[in-house]
Amino acid sequence: MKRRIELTVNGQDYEIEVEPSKLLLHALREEIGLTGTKEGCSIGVCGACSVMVDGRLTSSCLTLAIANDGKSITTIEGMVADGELDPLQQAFIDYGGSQCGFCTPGQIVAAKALLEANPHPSEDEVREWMSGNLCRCTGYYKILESVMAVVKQHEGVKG
Amino acid sequence: MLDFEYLEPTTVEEACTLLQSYGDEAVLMSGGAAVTMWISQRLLAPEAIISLAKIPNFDYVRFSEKDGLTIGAGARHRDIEMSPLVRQHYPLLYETFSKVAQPRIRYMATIGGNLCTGDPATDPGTSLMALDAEVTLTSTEGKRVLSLEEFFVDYYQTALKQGEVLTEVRVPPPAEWAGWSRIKFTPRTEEDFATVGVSVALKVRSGECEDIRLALNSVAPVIVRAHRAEEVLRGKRVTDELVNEAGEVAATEVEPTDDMRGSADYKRHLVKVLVPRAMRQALERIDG
Amino acid sequence: MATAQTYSVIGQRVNRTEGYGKVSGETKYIADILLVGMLHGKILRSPYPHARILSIDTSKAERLPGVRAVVTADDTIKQGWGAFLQDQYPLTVGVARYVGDEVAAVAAVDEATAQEALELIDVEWEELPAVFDPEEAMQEGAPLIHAGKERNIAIKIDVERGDVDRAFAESDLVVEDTFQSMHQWHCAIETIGSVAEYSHGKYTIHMNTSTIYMARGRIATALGVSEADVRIVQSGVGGAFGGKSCDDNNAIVAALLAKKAQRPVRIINTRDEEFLAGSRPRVPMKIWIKMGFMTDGRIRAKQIRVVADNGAYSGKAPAVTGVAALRHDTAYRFTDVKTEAYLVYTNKIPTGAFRGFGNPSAEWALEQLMDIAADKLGIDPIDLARINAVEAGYVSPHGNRVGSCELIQCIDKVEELIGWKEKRANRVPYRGLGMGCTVHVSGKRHFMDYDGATATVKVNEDGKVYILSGEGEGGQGIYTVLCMIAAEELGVPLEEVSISQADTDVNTFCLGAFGSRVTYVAGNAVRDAAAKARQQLFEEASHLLEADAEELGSKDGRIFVKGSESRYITVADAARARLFRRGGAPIIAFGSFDADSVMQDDTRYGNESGGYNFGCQAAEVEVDPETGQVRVLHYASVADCGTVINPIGAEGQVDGALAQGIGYAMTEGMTFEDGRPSEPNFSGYRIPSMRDMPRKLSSAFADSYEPTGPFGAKGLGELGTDPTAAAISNAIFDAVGVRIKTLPITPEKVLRAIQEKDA
Repeated sequence: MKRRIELTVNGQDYEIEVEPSKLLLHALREEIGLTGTKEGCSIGVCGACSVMVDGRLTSSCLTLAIANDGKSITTIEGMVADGELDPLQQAFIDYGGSQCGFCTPGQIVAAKALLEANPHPSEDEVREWMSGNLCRCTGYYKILESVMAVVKQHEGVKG
Repeated sequence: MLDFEYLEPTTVEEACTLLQSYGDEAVLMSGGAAVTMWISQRLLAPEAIISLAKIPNFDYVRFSEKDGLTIGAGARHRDIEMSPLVRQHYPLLYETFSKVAQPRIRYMATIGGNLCTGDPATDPGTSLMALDAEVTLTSTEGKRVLSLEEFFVDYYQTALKQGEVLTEVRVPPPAEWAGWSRIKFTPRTEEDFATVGVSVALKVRSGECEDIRLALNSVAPVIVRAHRAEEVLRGKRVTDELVNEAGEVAATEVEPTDDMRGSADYKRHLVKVLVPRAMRQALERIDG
Repeated sequence: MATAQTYSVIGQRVNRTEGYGKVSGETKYIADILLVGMLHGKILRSPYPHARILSIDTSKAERLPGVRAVVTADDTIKQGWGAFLQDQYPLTVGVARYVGDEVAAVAAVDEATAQEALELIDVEWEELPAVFDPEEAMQEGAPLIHAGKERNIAIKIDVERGDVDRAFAESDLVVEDTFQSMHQWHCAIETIGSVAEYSHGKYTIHMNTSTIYMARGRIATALGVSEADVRIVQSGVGGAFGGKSCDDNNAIVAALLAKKAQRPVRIINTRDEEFLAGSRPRVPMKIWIKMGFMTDGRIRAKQIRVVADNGAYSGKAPAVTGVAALRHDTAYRFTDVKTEAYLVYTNKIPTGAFRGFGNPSAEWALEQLMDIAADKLGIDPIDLARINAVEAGYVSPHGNRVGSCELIQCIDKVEELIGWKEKRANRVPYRGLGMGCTVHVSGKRHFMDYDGATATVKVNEDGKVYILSGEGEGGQGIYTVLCMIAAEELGVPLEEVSISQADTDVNTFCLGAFGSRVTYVAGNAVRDAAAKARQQLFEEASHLLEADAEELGSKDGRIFVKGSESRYITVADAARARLFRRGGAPIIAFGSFDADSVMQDDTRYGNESGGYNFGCQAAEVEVDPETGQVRVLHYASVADCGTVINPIGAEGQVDGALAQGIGYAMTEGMTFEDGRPSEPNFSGYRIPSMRDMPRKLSSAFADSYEPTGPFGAKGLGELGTDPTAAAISNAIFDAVGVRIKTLPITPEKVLRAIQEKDA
């Protein structure tokens, strides 16, 4: 039996009706219509479905929509503000961190979550964090470069 | 589409009552990662899911010199890993939790959920066992406390009775476990379930081993304490020969199986090699 | 020798043309396409490796509320199809031949209903004896998988050039050994999927395929319609690597359902479905190889016997086997060679095309035997490679004509980058170095005697340029490279150039992405079209600037008189002037290119490709002798791909190829139980993550120029995966003196080998 739940997604409030077994991933893609978050493996390994829930990096394929009633979700679409890309998004373009682009939303959301918790991570910390996002195209070197480019930008404005 | 009731009790008592009344038909959900996956992969079709997510103060990580570390079952791996109390007083746990899966999973999965799967290939239970951890199981009838050795009964089987909820994990005060080491051997990718996992805690004074704990994962139907291997060193002067012998003895206390992460023979060999290696690392920590 | 040139766009570090959509989440992949009234399709697959269908009853499934169509083989023309051998059916006709084989399918209002309906289809099976090992399958008395294919042999290759017996007799050293390579799944993060519609006799299929015309042809054959009745539109593609080149049944089944339901139908493979029956994994091969050398290191003779595992259906495996059998003879100087290769059916997942296309399996054997020979000859392996490396002008025993070639430069650079000589002179216990060389094609004349491409370039009145091309983008950066070529040729900024979606109704025939062909073959076609468009612009500009067309140049969107750049008009000016007048016309030109290659004849002789790319790689590893664990400390990879058109893209190809090579060598690997992959998911099958890549990667491109390539460019995409596993195995031998001959290289194998050696 469908349940009515409320989700705030990228700052906007939604009220949707979902079956109890509906994954947050599918609710975002189908009910809310934000298809930037992808399904890659369905078991939480690849990270293509990464979103932030109340600021916390989450595999949206590993959580039920109804378990997130009342929560605030950030998806890749929420990182674009008035057509302006987030520095991470721009870096992935500038440094070649994205090839086919399918893992890219998850990679960028994961990097965003990292930098929000820790604006000045070391390369090792970035490697460890980003290891949860699989990519088959890039070999990862340019993903690391893209994230470190933004870290360096932060260093530029370090107090 | 699969239908089930989704219940969100706000107290442990309520959760226990619901669990009691639904019996076999209900599944507890803590962090939700495992249960959600089993549902989406059609491995599980419960009548009801009882979520513990709305119980307040279920994810605490507290420390006192007297009681040691007490962790609410709803605490996420990441909460435990990042707790300054854990890093300071239980570096073995910090090291262990930081190598579970990857950060995103550690953000979601709870220690209660982890321990209750009874999965012998998991890391946290191993180091907790090496630190003499106990779990509190709560039901409508009251509470009982078990050691982890008592808690892990068989492959994917714990001592949880019908209607019981694991509510707390307690680790005794660290006292003088100055020597510790954790080795998680993953032969394929760096992140993986261990082929062999070793957790060691040592008390050594003036070259003599006062006490020792050795626990292993991925090498038996349950996470095991290698008691006979411990006996090799307990109360004796620590020598290279004894450390190696402990490894040999530990290899006789495990029952590994062949799988995609290695053959049983190989895992036995790894126990023989990695137990002494872990012990030497633990000894260095005492000296260093 | 390379020709140094300065270009405006070529060689610049540019942003990918379609980058914005990818980082913002706007790019639409196949699972993001929603059509009004769209149904969800699910496929019922054989649970047995070899079984006959005695009966199928779909009546209960049909009656389930929400189900709009159920199809079985009776809804097909029961026509086999396939890239080379037409041995695969859209839905099982009589006998299912592997676990995963498509039996029936359902289209319903949602996925859950479709899934439920599958469970209501009653199939009565008669299990048949199955065979899983190719050598066993070739024995007399083994279960026959395809009628008429005696001993389960799909194809046999028998080639001898020169006289190997005499050549071996003349050799100072003869070495031989046997190597076994394994399946490898593409594991693109996006699985195969399609959305099919049917209207008035015509199918329109949205697919994440990287070869839209080849897909169209095969789908039309399978459905029993003409090609004109099938339109393929490429969606965004989330990685392909050869795995989305329409060798599977996904789109055909979607089309069948769409016709029966009279509604659009979408089928997206789940991840475990992708492992079971989706992209066709790399062809495992057992290769026995024997080589003869002279004391000075020159190769004198080579003989190989290949037994390749076809799986249940052929797909592209025949061509892959052909490449494994013969391609490598274009990397080193060979004269007398003999190859015997068998492609053998087994009751397992059909195997096929995966980046490298047979080369990785062949090099797993050959590059290790080279290393064995080096050891026995007392010659440094890198010197042995150099002694034998081909150079420009070489003609292989099979007729491959090497144009530009900087293989020796690649070897020299790798030697320098990895510190080969210094490290070997100053040995560290348990550390070692290994290397391997490789050759690959820039396109190949495989299909229908065509190794070409076509493209149309038009210049709008606003000066913006639009390329119509059906090659498609799989993520490797094709769109960007083609836009760069057009931009350079026309003299406009890259930002002013865009490229069409690949759509068989709109574009002219394109072979798509395979054989590392697009930069070289399609690039030439785009350049041709752009040059003709520029000529039209210059004709117009010559009137406006009152100068001869030969005196004009173009750059940054301006057309000017060379030598007095202040006399200029914009490209837009020229385009408008040509159009808006009596008898006006738009600026639009058609370009075409066919490479100077030939179809191999019956003896497999013929110059396969218009251009050959080369590479050398080396690994530095450290081995833990107590556990057998191997760490790759440093990796060097140098490629000769002619002019590097898009450096960021090219580096990305090298990086990505290495990751797949590392996976093939060490982290991947699947066990089968009764023909079924035992852990068909990302938890059991481990592809490398960021932490699994070598900490230090030194990569570089040779200074090289291919005169027949667009601005001197050749292909690159597959080269980097070919020698990786062998290089790592060679490094392990150098470190601890043991050689691993089967994939994957696991610590357990290394440890066992060390223990055996020490015993």
